[in-house]
Amino acid sequence: MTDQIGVIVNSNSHIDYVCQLHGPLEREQRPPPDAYAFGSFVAISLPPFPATSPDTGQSPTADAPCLIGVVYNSMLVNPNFTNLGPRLTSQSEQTIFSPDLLDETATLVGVLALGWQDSAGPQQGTPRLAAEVGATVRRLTGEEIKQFHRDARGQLSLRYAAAILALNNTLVPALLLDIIDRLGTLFPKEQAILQVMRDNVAWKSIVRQAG
Amino acid sequence: MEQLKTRDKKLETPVGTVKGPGETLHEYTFIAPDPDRQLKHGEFVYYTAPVDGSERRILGRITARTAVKLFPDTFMADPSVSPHTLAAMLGYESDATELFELTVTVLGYYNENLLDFTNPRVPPQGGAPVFIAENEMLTDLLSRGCQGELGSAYVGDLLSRDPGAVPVALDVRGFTSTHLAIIASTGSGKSYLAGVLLEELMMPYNRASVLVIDPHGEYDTMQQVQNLESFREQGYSPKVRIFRPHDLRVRISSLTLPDLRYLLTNLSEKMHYQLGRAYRYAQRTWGEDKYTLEQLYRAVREVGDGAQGEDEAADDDPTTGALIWRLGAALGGSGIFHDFENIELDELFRPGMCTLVQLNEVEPRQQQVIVAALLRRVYQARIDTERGKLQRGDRNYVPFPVYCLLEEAHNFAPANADAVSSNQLKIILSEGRKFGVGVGLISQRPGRLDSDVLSQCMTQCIMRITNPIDQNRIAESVESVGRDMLKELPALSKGQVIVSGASVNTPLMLRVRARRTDHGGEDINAPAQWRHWFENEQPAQAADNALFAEKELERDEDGMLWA
Repeated sequence: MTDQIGVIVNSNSHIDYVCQLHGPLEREQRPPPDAYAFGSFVAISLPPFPATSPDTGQSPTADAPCLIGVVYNSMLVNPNFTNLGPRLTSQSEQTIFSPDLLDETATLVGVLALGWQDSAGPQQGTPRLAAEVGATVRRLTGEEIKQFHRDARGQLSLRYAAAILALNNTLVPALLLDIIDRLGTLFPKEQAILQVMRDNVAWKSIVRQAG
Repeated sequence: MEQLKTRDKKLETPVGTVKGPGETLHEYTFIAPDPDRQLKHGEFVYYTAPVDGSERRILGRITARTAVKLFPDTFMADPSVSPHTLAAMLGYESDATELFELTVTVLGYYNENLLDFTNPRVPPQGGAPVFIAENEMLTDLLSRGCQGELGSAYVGDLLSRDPGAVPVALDVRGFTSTHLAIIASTGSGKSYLAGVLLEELMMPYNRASVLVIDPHGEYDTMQQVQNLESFREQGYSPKVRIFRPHDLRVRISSLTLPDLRYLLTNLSEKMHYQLGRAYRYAQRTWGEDKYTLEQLYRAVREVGDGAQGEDEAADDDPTTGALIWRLGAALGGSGIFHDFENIELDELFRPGMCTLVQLNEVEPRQQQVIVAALLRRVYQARIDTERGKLQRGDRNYVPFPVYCLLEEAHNFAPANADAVSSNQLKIILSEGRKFGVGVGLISQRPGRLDSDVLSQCMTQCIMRITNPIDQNRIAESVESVGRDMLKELPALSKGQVIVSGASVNTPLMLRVRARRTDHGGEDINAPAQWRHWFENEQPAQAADNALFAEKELERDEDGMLWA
C-alpha cells in the first residue's frame, strides 16, 4: 500500500513518536517525499490490530483504531558518518556483497500525536492509548484530514493547537502555520477564522520575535 | 447607489468584539482591527441584548482608544522603510497589523415611553459582536427634535460621520425653557453658531420671539432672513429689528435703586443713604415710573441736609452736590437714559421677530444696566401676563414666551464681581422657565462667567477651549458633559461643537451647519487693509501734501506764515 510510510521505532513521550521510513529493502517503492513532509498528517495503527513489522507487511484499514499525528521533525541516521577510515570494498561492491549494511542508514521522522480515531470517529486531544513499536504509519487522505478537523457539530476544530504550542519546540510555530495553510485549502469557507489564527501565530513567531 | 449598498453592508458587519466590562459600571471594552479608521473618538456603536423579552440595540459612545497590537518600534528605525514591507520580508504578509481596545460608555436602549435612553445595567457578554450604528438609527435617536419640524433647530451634523449623514436638531423647547450656553474661545465660531440658532428660531416652523444683546454689532446680517425664501411660508415672513446705540432709550424712572447705585460709582455711605431716600421720595411723590431726572435732582435736594427748596442753594451740602453731580454725569449726559422715552416691550418682542440691541459704543456699566432693565421689564411683564394681571391692550402685555440671547455674557454675569445684571439673570435662569423667559448666554471666557449662571444653563454648546481655567470652569459647572468629552475641547476645530444637556438625548460632537445668512463676525484682514492703504490711501495723501507744498508761503508783518 503506497500510503504507508514507515513504522514506529521509538517514542520520546506519550505523544511524541519516532517513525522510521520504509527503506529500499522493505518496500519496492519508497514513500514519496511529500508523504512524510513537514506538517503531513499520518495515522499510527493501534491495538487490538497486531503491530505490523516491516517483515509482515500487514496494514490497518482506514477505519481501524489509530492515533492521528503530524510529522514535525526529521532525522537522518547514517552509521558511516565520520567513519573516514580505509575500506576494503567500494560502495557499489558493498551493495552486492553486504546489502544489510546499507540498510543501517535510515530516515526517521518525528510524529506528534494530535488525536485518535476509534469507532466513534476521529477525536482531537491527547490520546488515551499509546502506539507500539512496529506500528505502521500511513499518510492520511485529504478527506480523512477534513474529518479529523470537524467536531461533532460539524464545526472546524483545532483543539490540539494549544497542546502543541505548549511543547516549547522551536519548530512548533512553523508547524502550526503549515497546518493552518493546509487546512485553508481544505476548508475554504472557514478561511476567515483560520486567517485570524494564522495572523496570531505569525505575529508572535515572526514579527514579535524579530522586533 | 452601488456605493450606498456597499456602505450599508459595511454597517451591518460587526466592527469589533466585546472584550469585557470597563472600569466603571456603564462602560465596556471591545477589540477591533479598524482598518478603515471608522471607530473615531465619539463614534456610536451598539451591541444587541435581550431586554424584557425582545432583542434591543444597546447604544454606546466610544470614549477611549488604545492600541493593543502594533509593529515593534524597531521596525520603524528607517522612515523610508515601511514596517509592513519589513514584516512581509520576514514572512508576515497579512494586513492585520493593528488591533485596538476601545472603551465604550453605554447610553442604553432608547425607551419610547420615557423618550430617553435606558441603561440595561449589565455589561455585554464577552465575545459579543459590536456594530457601528447606522446613520438612520442615529438620526432618529440622538436628536430630540426632528429636522424641519415644529420645535426643532437643525444646528449641524454628527462630527464622526460624513457631512449631512446624521443631521442633529436640537429641541427648541428644551433650550428656550431651561436656557442655553454657548462657550467658545475667540475665533472658534461661537457667533456663527449663535447665528445658526437664530436662523432656526426664525424659521417658519419656530417663529420665535428673540432679543439679541449684541455688544459688538455683529449680527446685522441677520436682516437677510427677511429676504430669503427659505424663511417664508404661507404669509409668514420673519422680521428683524435693529436698535442701534442711538436708538436705545431707557426711561430714568424705570431704573431701580440698585441700577442707580450701580451707575453712580464711588458713592459714600451717606450718598447711598441719601440716594435711597431720594429714590423713595421720587416714587412716592410723582409715582413709580413717572419721574424725570430733574425731579430726581429735586428729590435728592429735598432729602438732603442742605437748605430745602428747588434752588441750587441746596447743593451747598457736599453730599447733595456730589450726588447730583454724579446723577448728572451718569444719566444727564447719556443719550440712552431719558426722562420720558422708553423702548416699549411690544417693539422688542413679537413672535417671528428677532430684535438686535446693539450696545457697541455704550459704556460697560451702562450696558449692564440696560440689560438688567430690559430683562427685568420683560420678566415682570411675563409674570403679570401669565398671572392675568395684564390683558390684551395693556402696556407690557406679552402673551408669548420670549428668548433672550446675550453675547459676551461674562460682562453681564461676571464671576467674583457684582454686576447689576447678574442678579436679574440669576432670577430668570432659576425661575424664567415658569413664565416663558429663556436665556442664551454666549461667552468666550467661561472662567470669568459666574459659575451659578453657567450651571443653570441646561443646554450647553461648547466649542474649542484651550485655556485651562476656562476648561476647569466648564468641568465644574457643566455636569452633563463627561470628562471624556471635555478632553476633546482643545482638539476641536473651528465650527465643531459639543452639544449636551436638555436639548439632545446624549452629549454629541457636531459639525455646525453652514449659515443661510452671511456671517457678520469676520475678523478684520489687517495685512490686506495695510496693503490697500499703500495702494490707495497713501498716493491720495501724498497728492494732498503736494498741493499744500505748492502753495506759496508768505510771511506777514508780524512774522506769521500764511499759505
